[in-house]
Order: sequence, then structure tokens, then C-alpha cells
Amino acid sequence: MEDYYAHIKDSHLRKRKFTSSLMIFLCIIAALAAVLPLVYIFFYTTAAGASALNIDFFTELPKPVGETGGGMANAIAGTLTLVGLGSIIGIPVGIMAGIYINEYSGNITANAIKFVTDVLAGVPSIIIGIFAYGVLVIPMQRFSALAGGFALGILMIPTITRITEEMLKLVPQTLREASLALGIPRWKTTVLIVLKTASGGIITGILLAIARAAGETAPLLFTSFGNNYWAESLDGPMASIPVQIFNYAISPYEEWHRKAWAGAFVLITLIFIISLAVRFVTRKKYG
Amino acid sequence: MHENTTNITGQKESKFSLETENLNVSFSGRNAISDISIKIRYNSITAIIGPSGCGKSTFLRSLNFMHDLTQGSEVTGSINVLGKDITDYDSTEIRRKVGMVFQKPNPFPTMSVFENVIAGLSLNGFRMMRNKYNDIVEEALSKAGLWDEVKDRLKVSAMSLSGGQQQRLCIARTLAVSPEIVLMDEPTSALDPKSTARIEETIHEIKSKYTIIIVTHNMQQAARASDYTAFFYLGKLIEHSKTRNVFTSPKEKLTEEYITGKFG
Repeated sequence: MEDYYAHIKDSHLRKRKFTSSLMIFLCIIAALAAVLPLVYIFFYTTAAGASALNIDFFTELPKPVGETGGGMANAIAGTLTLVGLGSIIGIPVGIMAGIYINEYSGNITANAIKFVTDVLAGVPSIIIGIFAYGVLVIPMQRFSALAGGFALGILMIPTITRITEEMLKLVPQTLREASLALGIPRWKTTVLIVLKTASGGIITGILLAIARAAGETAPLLFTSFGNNYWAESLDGPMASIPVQIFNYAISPYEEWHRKAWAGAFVLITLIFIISLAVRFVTRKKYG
Repeated sequence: MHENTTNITGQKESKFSLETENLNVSFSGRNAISDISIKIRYNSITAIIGPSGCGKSTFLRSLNFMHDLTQGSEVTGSINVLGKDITDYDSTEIRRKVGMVFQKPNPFPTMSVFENVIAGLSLNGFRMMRNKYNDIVEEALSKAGLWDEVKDRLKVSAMSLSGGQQQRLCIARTLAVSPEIVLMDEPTSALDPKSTARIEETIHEIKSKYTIIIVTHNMQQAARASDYTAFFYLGKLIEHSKTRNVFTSPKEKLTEEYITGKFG
């Protein structure tokens, strides 16, 4: 039999195999480089923060300097409230904007909205904080959880909008046609078929947005401000974990530094738990 | 009209479930089909053949308002569906009367086999007893010739079925909303010969209850499966007659050249 591969010398083959292995090796290094910081952050915060953790941390209010004990209960509840408020604003607006861009608008409008959301995504979060300060804090004459939630909501919109739009784009046109051809109205087709089919990706987008919002400090500094006690209402100042971490971390006290680490650990864990819970609740019946 | 006959209840009833007159459809000013006048009999199978781009699909999609989904579409002329002008129907209403099966099987991926079959009913808000749904699902799947294969796995994802089964599921889904007319846009072109034969069998079995219009690229299929054949060329209806006549003694030279494979 004729050997079609005769022209390939052994040395060529060896060189190719070497190049191949080298590239795979580089890919592995890159993958590790992507994962390692997260693992490092997680272990470091656990090591530094876990020692300051106890039941009190979750149930008690912060204690003044000098007194031992105390916790961050108000900040934990505050972060959950603020992220909740942000989600109430950011998720519906983000999803509906994404639906509008992909399902209903013409190309020109869609591109205009996409451009604006991209710009919004690039706006530093502190500026979004200033915006919320301008439209809510100044007119209301006080710092408030509402203003903080509003700032976080705005922050979440571009991520959710763009991911929703991208995910809807992946739903084949034939599915929309199949649904419409059954006499199912357009809006039901959009919600019950298209959105449902794209839900996995959209949920990922929402989780990204939530995780980012939960960790934001800057937009909360002059909106929800901070509070050493339980917030009395949504239109008053409210504590949050990131702001509390910030305040503790810039203080000169060793005890507060440990609290800041504990806060960081709780924040990461919280985001982790929210992600898992949402994944579990919305898991697909059919993969 | 001389085409009208009197049925048992004494009502005047047309022999035709679907009639178009001087139907033109254009997209952004470009004519896709022009001057199509055709009458389709109740409970018959009509095959629409013709080379690519001759307007077969456009014609089919204009019959249940699907052309509406394409931007810049414009329709003139009239379409009469089940004795009423198409513009007197709501677009969702017409699509329930005139079902459609597409080229590629497109079951809803988030739903089970069962849910797919009742999708047209459940998503339209027809709430009914579970038993009723069970009956509908069994009936629709039986008509589509899929019941025996899936009766034990109604709860599995529709995507786990084979391509041919998925297409029969789509047929069942279409039949479940009890349409009177079923449009099929090259329903077997994405399937293997065995599945194709199975679908043709299905079409034949349901023909006594539905008016079927099937667009096909496959002339053997048209000859095998249909009662009437319409030949489209460059957006015009060239010939429409009994399938036997079209294939054995076509009146038009163009038809003859097409079916003998001189072009297309």
C-alpha cells in the first residue's frame, strides 16, 4: 500500500506533538490563573474572618470601640434588603428592556438602546451613587435605603439587559414560529416559549448582576449611607456589609479589622448561597 | 354559485375549504408570488411543487398570516378560508384553524412530550380537566402515528425523541388544536427515508379529516402522497390539477419540463 504520509517526517511529528502539548499546557495555566485568585480570596477571607465569626456576629448590632463582641446583624439584613430593592428595580427593567430590544424594536432603536446600556455598564459605580444622591437623597433630604436600592437597581440593569438580549437571540426563530402557528398570541409566545427557553442564561445574568450589586460599596456611600443600628424604615439610612467592611477596614482598631474580615467572608458566602439557591429553584426540568 | 352543494342540514356549503383570488405577496416591494388563484377542496391533499424560490413557502405562509412576521410584507388579492375572508379573522384565530408543520422539527425544548402536544391549548388558556388533556394527547399522538412509540414516555423531554419522532410530535401538536386545514412546509426534507415514509403514511391517515397542503421539493413525494398537485414557477401558479394528470399528462410545457427534470 502506498504511504500517503511518507512526506511527514518523524521530526515534524515530534515538533507538532510538542507544540500541541505546549499549547494545552498554556491553556491549563491560563485556566488556573483564572481560578486561583478566587480560591485564594476565599481561603484567605475564611482564614482571616472565620475566627471573628460567632453567633453574635449574625444576631448582634455593632458595638462601640473598646467593647468586645457585637456583630453585623443590621448590615447583613441591610445588604439583603438593598439587594432585594435593587432586584425589584433592576430585574424587571433589565429583562423587559432585553425583550424589547430583541423581540419588538427595529434595528435602529435596538442599536441605540444597546449602545446606551453598554455605556451605562461602563459608568463607574460611584457616579451611579451620585446620580441616586441627586435624584433621591437631595429631594428627600435624607439618606435612605430606597436611594441605595435604586442605585443598585440601576447598576444591575445593563448586565441583565445585555445578557437577556444575547440569550433571546440564541432562541431559534423556528420556535417562535411554531408557537405563533398554534395560534398562541405574540406576548404569550415571548413569555412562555422564548423567555422560558432562554431562562437558563438569563438567570446566570441576573446572578452576576446580584453578586456585583451585593458587593458594591461606592454607590451606597451617599445613598443608604450606613447605620450602626437597625434601620427604622426604608426611607432612612441603612447599614450594609460592604459599607460596614469599609468603615471597619479603614479604622485603626485590630478588633474592627477582624470584624471587617468576618464581614467579607459572610458577604462571599451570602452571594454563594444566593447563587446556589437560585440555581436550585430555577433548575430546568429538561436539560 | 355552481360550486356550492347542499349538505344534509340544508346549508349552502362550498366544496372548497380554501380559495385565493389574484393573490399577490411582496416583500419590501419585491413580488414573491403574483396572481395566484387557486381552490383547494375539503379533505384533500394538495402538493405544491416547484423550484427553489418560486414562492411555494410564501404562498403557504400567507394562508395563516405567517408572512406577517416578515418585515415589509404586503398582500393584495383575497384569501377565503372556510367560507370567510381571511381578513375577518384575528391572526391567532386563523392560526388555530389553519395549522402549520415546519421544515425542521421544532418541538418546544423546555417541555415534555405531553406538554408539547397540549401546548396550543394550555398556553392559550383553555383550562380543562387532566382527563380531557389525556384524551386529547392520546388522540393527537395516535393520529400522528406516534402514540405506540411514546405512550410510556410522555413525561420525557421532547428533545430526547429522534428527528422523525419529533416531526410527528409537531404534527400531533398541530392536530391537538383541531385545525381544519394543515399546512406543511417541506415536512420531511430534514428526515431520513424511513421517517419520511412514516410521515407520508401519517398524512394519508389524517386526510379524511383535514385539508392538507404540503410544499415539497420531492416530486416522488408529491406523486405518492397527494390528490392534487400545484406547480409554481417564478411566483406564478403554472398548473393545478389532479396529481395523476399533472404527472402523466401535464397541460403546460413548463410543468412537463420540471417534472421530467429538465430544470429545477
